[in-house]
Amino acid sequence: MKYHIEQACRIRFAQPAREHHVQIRLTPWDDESQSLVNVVLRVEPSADPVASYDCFGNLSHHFAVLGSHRELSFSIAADVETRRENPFDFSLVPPERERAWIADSLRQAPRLWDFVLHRSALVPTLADEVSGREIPEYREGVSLIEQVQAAFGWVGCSMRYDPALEASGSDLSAPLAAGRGSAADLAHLLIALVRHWQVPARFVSGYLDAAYFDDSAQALGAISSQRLHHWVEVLIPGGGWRGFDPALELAADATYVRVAIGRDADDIRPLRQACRSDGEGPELDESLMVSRVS
Amino acid sequence: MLKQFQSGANGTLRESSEGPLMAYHEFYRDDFCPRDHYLPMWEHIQSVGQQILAAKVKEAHLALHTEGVTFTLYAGEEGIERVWPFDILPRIITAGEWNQIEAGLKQRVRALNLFLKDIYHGQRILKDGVVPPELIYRGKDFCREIMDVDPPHDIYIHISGIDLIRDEDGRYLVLEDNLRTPSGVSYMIENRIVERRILPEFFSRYRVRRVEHFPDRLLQALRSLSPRGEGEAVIVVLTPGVFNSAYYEHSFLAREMGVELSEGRDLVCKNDKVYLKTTQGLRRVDVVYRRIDDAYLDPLLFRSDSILGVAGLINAWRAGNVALANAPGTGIADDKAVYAYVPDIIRYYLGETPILPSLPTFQMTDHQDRTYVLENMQRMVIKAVAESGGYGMLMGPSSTTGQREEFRRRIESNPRNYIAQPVIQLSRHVCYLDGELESRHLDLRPFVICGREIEVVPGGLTRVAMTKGSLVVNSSQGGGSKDTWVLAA
Repeated sequence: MKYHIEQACRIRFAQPAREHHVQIRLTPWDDESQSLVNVVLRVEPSADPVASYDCFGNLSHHFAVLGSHRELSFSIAADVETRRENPFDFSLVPPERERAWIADSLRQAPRLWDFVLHRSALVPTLADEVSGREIPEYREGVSLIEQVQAAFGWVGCSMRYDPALEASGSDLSAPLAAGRGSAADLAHLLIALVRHWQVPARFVSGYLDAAYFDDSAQALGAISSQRLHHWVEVLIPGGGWRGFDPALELAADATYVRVAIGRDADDIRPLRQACRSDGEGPELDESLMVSRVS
Repeated sequence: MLKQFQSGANGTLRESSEGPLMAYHEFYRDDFCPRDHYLPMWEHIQSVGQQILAAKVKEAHLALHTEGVTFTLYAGEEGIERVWPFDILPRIITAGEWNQIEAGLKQRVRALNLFLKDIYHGQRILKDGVVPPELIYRGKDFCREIMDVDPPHDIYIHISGIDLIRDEDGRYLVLEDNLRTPSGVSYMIENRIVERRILPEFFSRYRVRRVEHFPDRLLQALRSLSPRGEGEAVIVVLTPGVFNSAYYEHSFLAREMGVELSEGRDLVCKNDKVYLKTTQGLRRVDVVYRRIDDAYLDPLLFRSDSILGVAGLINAWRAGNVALANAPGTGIADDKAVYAYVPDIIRYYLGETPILPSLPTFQMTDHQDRTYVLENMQRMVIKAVAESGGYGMLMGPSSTTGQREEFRRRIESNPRNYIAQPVIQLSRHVCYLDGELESRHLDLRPFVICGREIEVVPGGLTRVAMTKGSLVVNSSQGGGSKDTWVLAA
């Protein structure tokens, strides 16, 4: 499937700002599951954006406007072709060998440990956060895919998906206490569970082609293509990183466009900036348009 | 580790219930006669008498005061500026002893640089199971943001201050590696300047190796990192500012090297290059000797609330347009839990036996070690792995029940954050305090510069626990210092 994505952001200051440094992480991934066909970044006032990859493989751009200004805007237009029509297009490893497969992957690529060991307020140690509720334990002999999909139910019971909620706050305890959360909150809870099993899991930000789900629009509620969506990737034996969306209880296929990947949402904030200004923090206006081309 | 400690297999740390171990005395032999290399000094002290020595103490204090050699002691919210505490009697290290220290430190720094290069690139040592990946990936100071970046000449640790102590047999042991922004080198030099001024007659009796050239050597090493070549190198010392406890040292080194002392607001990044704001406009900077911790170095990448750093600095470093000394991410190599693996790290990368031994270290992540330590807290030093300056530490023998309970709770809630070591009676040395010769415990921080070659400055900062019986030498905890003489062969 081919998508055209346009994202724009305007940053306005009440008092003039200077030495304004911006780092954005908005370029879709280019790998075996999706191709980045084209990307154009525009910045106003004019600046020379520099592209670089971060430690998780995300492509980011940074630029600076040094002179005094009250407004800075940028836009990114990208064309992406997604290929994962069937999320299960791989040869399964027999369940009894899955543990050994994961252990071997960790041995060969120690960087994967980041996605097993990382704990934060967003991805806490489950036992500390989920008191009084049974935590599903890893079941030997049952395939990991099956266990992750079964975990959707547990995540949904712990907090109901509310598409109207903005992306996650600073920690997971508030949505857990409230019993409802954003897509990012549900993703963080699923990650915490999968890491509790000592299996690598990572947080994904991107776009979801909501229009594709016309028939089940009711179930999607207010979800729209016009905001970032968040889901989870789990290292599946035999299949590598595979996407799971606990908010919609779906496996991520070609209707999901991956933009940024990290240990949790904090790792991959789409915009980071630093500037010198005498006034209050800046105001942001953002817009996003994702459209399916074919 | 546990077994070795209990059996005293290393021959030095004989765990005893009869009381503290006898500390090695640097100055006296067992028969209370001065050691041979101290005899000329001893004879001189005897000959000049009390009055003159007391006058020299006053003179030293006045000189340090006049020169403004100070440090900031934090007491609650406030910082109190103090004149640098200095004992006039020097510590003397023989050429033979120094050769061993020098070789051991060079070996250690070489291995730790290779370790950092590996950890931030291929991670061979983790794949081979020599260091557990959990140790790195749970380490607070593992800086994943710099993965796969190549620093100039593959060097991460340009300046280090490695703390050494001596056990009861006089054997030098590494207490901790300080590989981030180690302090103390200015005090090493100032101690020497004062000592030369007030006790010139001592120097005529010994052939003491110079330490005053440290800033020249540091400047050479920093120049060698310049991406535009040594000839054009513009170097700055980046300081957090006047409120930092080591500000004196930052200004001292900038002055001695003849480079700009700058704060974050004096620098700006543009197109992945770093510039110094001057009255003549922006001037390109090639090397930043930074004395700001990683977390505050670049608000665009690390702590966004940092007003001390320079936005865009890491991107400029990543692009190879500026060198940072030390490189970001060195903190994982002096993490106190990684410290226990340094002997293995040396063997792994260099295929050599460690010249300087490390202290036995109990990992709180290890169930057996943790149980043993929690049952023997009074006989242990417990340290938070990423703290320095004597902070986040429990000295078991002098701790209260409440303090031990607090540390027990902290260890149980975050075992990766703590290690424990047996209490070592640091070696002692005579000090001239209030008109009396008194023995006090001390350690030694030699400084290692790593440019095109590794150089250990022959001397170091000898830190003295000024309170009788105390083992805490940190200046932030009331410690003092001595001039350190390394004798020429």
